[in-house]
Amino acid sequence: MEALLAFLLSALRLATPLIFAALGGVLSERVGVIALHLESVMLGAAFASVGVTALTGSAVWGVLVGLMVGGLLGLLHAYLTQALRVPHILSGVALNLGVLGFTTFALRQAPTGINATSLIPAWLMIAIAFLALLGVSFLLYRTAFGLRLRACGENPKAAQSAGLSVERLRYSTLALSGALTGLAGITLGLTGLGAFTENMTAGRGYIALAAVIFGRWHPWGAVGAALLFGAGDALQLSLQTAGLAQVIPPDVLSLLPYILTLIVLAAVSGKSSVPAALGETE
Amino acid sequence: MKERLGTLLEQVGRPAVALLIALLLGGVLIAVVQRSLNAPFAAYSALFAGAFGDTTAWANTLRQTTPLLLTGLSVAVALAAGLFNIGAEGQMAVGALASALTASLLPAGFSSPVAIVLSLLVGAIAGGVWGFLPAFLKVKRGAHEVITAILLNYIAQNGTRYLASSPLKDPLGESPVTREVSHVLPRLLPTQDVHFGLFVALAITVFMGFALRYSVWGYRTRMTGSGTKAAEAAGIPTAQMQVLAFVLAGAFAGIAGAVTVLGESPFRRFPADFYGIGYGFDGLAVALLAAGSSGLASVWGVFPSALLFGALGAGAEAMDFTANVPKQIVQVVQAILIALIAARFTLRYRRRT
Repeated sequence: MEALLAFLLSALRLATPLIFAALGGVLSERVGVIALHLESVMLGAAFASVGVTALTGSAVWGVLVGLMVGGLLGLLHAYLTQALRVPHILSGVALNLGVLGFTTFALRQAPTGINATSLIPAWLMIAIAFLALLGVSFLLYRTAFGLRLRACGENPKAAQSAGLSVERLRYSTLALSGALTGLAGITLGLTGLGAFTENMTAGRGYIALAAVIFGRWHPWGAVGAALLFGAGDALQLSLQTAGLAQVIPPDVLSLLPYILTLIVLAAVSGKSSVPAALGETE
Repeated sequence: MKERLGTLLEQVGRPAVALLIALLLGGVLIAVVQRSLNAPFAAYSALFAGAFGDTTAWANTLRQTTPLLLTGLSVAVALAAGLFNIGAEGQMAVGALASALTASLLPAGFSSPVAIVLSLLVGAIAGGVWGFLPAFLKVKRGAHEVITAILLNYIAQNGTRYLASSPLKDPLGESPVTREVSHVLPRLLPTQDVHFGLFVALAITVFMGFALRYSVWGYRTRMTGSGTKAAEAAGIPTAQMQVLAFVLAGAFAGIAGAVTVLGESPFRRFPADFYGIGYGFDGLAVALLAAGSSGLASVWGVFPSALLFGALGAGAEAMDFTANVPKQIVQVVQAILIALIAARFTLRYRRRT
C-alpha cells in the first residue's frame, strides 16, 4: 500500500511538467499553431526561473520571470508563424535550437553553475497543474474567448469574416500557452535540485506534444496522456531501484515511454479530431 | 541572360544577407554576455582562422563538410517530396553503428575496398529502415512525420547507447565502445582527418542532383512535394513517392554516420555517446539554407551550404578553444539563420500574391 502510494506520488511529480506543457500545447494547436516550440519554452522558462532565483534569492521573482519568458517565447513563435509566415515546424525547430544554444552558452559562462537557493514545494505545482486543467477546459468550452479560439483553429477564414482578428487571437493564445508551458519549466527548475543543467528538459516538450495528439487535442485527454507518460517514467524508475536493473538494463527501460508513444501514435492517429486549419500559413 | 544573373544574385545575396544578420545578432549576444565590445571580434576572427586559416583549418572544415553534405542531401530529398526529415540524427546513429559493426566483423585479411563498400551499404540500409518508419506511419496512419521521427531519434539514442555499452561492447576495453573496425576510409592528407568519405559524399550528392532534376523518379517526387492532390490527379502514387523519399533520406543519413565512424580517426569504433554528434540536426539547416529564398528543395544548393556549416562547425571548435567563447553560440546563429531564411521566402511569396 505504501509502495503504491509512493509510486503514484512519483508518477504525479514526473507528470506535472508534462501536464503544464500539454495544456499549453492544446491551447496553441486549438488556435491553429503547431506546438513544436514547447521544448524551447520549457527550457527558456527553466533557465530564467533558476537564474533569477539564484540572482535575487527569491523563488517568487524566479516564477514571475519564468512565466514572462515563457509568454514571450510563445509570442515569438506567434510572430514568426503569423507575421513572418515561417512554416510552423521550422519556427519550432529554430526556437528549440536557439534556446538550447543560448542557455548552454550562458551556462558555460557561469563557472560554478546556476543554482537556485530558494525552491518551490512539489505539491504546490501539482495542485496548480490540476487547477490549470480546470481553467483551460473552462476557457476553451465555456467562454466566448474559447469559442473564438477554436474557430481560429478550425476555419480562420470564417472566423475572419465573422469579424474576429485571427492574428490577434493567435498572439494572445500563444502568450497564454507560453506562460502555461513556462510553468512546466519552472517545475523542472525549482522543485527538484534547483540547478539548471544543459538541455535539462531533455525532450519533454516533444513528449508533451505527443500527449496533445494522443489526447485528441482535448485538455482532459492531453492531461490523461501526460499522466500515463508520467506513470511510465515512474514505473521505469521504480523498476530500476527495485534491482531490476540487473535483469533489464536502464537504457532499455528508458526506451519504454518513447516506444509506447510511437505505438499510441500509430494506433490513434487519423485526421478526425485534428484542428482543421492546424499549421496553415495561408 | 540578365534575368538569370539577377536570380543568381538573389539566390546568393539573400542567404548571404541572412548570414550577416545572424552573425551580427550572435555578435551582439557575445558582447552582452561577456560584457566586452572586443569579444565578438576576437571570437569571429578565431572562428574564421579555425575554418580557413591554414591547411589544418581547411582539413577540419572539409572533414565536417563530408557528413553535412549527406545529411543536408537527406533532408533535401525528403523536402523535395514535401516532408521534413528531422530524424537524420537518429538515422545517422543507427547507420554508424551498423556500419562500424560490419567493418569490425569482416576480417582484416578481407579485401578492404569491398569491405568498405559493404559497410557503407549496411549503414545505408540501417538508416533507410529508420527512415521508412515515419513515412510509413504518415501515409498509412496520418501520424505527423516530425513527431514520429523525433520519437525514433530518442529510440535510436537510447538503443545505440545500450548496444554499444553492453552487448556489443568491445570486451578488451573498459570504455563503452564497439570493437575497432578492421577497414578504414583512407585519409586524403597524411596528418589530417579529412578522408575519402568526402568523395563518396560528393559523388552521391552530384548523382542525386541529376536524378532529382532529370529522372522520372525525380519529376514524380517533386510533383508530390509541390502538392499531393495535384500529383495524385496526375496519376502519381504520392504515398509511395513519399515513403521512397524518406527511405532514401534515411539511407543518406546512414551513410553519413558510416563515413564518420570509418573515416574520422577518433572514431573507428562506435562510441555509446555517438548520437548527438549534431551532423544530423545540422542537415536540416543545411538543406534549408540550400533551398534559400525559393523554399524549394535544392540539391545543388547543398554544396555551398554544407561547406558553410562545415566551416562554422570547425571554426566554432577553434573559437571555443582559443577565444574561450562557448561554441554553442553557433547554434544560436544557426537558429536565427533558419528563421530569417524561412521568413524571407514566405515574405516574398506574400508580396506577389
